[in-house]
Amino acid sequence: MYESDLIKAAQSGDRDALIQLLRDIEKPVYRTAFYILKNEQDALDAAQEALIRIYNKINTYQEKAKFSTWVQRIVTNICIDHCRKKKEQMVSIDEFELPLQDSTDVEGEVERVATASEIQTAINLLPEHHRVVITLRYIQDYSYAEIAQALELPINTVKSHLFRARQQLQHLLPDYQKGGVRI
Amino acid sequence: MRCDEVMELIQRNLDGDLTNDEYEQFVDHLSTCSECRDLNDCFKQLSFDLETLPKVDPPFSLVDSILPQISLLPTICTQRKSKAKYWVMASSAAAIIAAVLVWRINSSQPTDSASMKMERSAITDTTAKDTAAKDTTAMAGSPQISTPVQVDKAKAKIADPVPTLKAVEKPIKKPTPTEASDKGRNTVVEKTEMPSAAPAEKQEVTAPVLKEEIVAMDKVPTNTSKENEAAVAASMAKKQASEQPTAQDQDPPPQRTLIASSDAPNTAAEARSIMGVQPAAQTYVSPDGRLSATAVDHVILVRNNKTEVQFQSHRFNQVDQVHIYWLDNQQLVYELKQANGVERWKINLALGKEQKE
Repeated sequence: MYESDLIKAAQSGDRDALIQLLRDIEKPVYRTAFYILKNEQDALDAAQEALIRIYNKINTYQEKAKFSTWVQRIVTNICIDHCRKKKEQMVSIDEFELPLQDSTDVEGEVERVATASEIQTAINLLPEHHRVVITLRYIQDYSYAEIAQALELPINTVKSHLFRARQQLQHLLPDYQKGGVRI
Repeated sequence: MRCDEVMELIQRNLDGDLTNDEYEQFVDHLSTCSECRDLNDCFKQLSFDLETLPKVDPPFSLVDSILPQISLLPTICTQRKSKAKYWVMASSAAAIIAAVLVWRINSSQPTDSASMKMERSAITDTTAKDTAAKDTTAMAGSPQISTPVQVDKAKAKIADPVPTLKAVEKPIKKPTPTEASDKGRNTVVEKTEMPSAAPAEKQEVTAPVLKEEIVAMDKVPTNTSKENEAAVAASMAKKQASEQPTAQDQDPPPQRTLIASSDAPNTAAEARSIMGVQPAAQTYVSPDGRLSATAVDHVILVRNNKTEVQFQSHRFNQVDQVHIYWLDNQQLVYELKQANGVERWKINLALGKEQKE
């Protein structure tokens, strides 16, 4: 939660208050950018761009929405623009036939644990809109409503994206498939 | 409850979205269906691991990194807006003065300081008598023909002296005739070929090739464009700055003279950069004269009129030549020329970042 007084002071022209506000949000902004754009350099660029845009548009924030969701909207839009500009060829989940790991040793009693990097790799393979929803849900700990507010989407659409993203991750990671789940 | 219906409940349960009734039905089904129970376990584990993904932090303070750019952005305060308007007016006046100087130069008038000072105000007639009649005070009192970058020797020394660049003032060749009246590219700094920097400075920085109408200052196209006007203003400002170093301290408006020079600034050449043309001092001034870019110590520094660094590029390796030119008041391109090719980088000051092209 960001103090409403700080926000109001920033909107009234208090430059110090605005800079303090930017300092308060720079980490969440960066984290969202990092998980959407998948690498540090792009995340730094996008996060800086987002902070500058927030600085410029602070007066456009209205209290009817949460400040954090307003911020996340800005950074996700920038990240989505970055993705599209890069014209990355996302690996279609339908084309991805094999799991990320060789699961031949999973047949028995061997338990494998998916590392954070494996999960992150799988997230990177998700389509852009699914990756965004996963990021807001698990990195920013947003509810359906908050995600919907940040992305300006209906809640049902948010649910659909989130459920589909989890299914795709479950398909990509053998550790989360039947018979390969650690207890 | 069917298994296909339970799949949605599995998902929603991960987010705590089930009502009490739904949860009871969900649990009842799982107690009787091992497949759904296994699937639920899979998704629970996945969701748990997603929640434990590392909360990465930026390697440095992003806010600190954008503070220079933020300082350039207009704020709610109207005072800065007024300043901006004043700059526009000052730039227009400087352009007019530059036109006079270009005409003066074209007529091969002596470029001594006295005559340079006298070349202000009049736009058309620039005979010797007329130019001699014009008073220096016109130059000194009114908005100065200078770039907003202060020619403050002391500041330049403290900030970021480029003695090696200063040694490379004399262009080694004149630029080929270009479209001087190409107003659409008037912000593009012409590239110059200049000798490499002093041996102490590993990086060889080159000044852009001066336009024909600027380099010699003795042959200016009669069809003066804004670029030529800038060149004229540059020559006048050069003389002025050499004799009146304190002029830059006047406020407002700031002098349109260049900095980033530990020696006597070549204000004439610097004033040329009013329109973004590269002066001999290897400092590249933005079209509106508010910023200047210099290649020094393997980085590109962009400074404001107070010699405050607004942007610093990445540190590049030793190169043979560095060409810098402004695309507009907020964007510039620099090219790093090496034996194995050329690297182009674009700096966007509004965004505070650079990108390799």
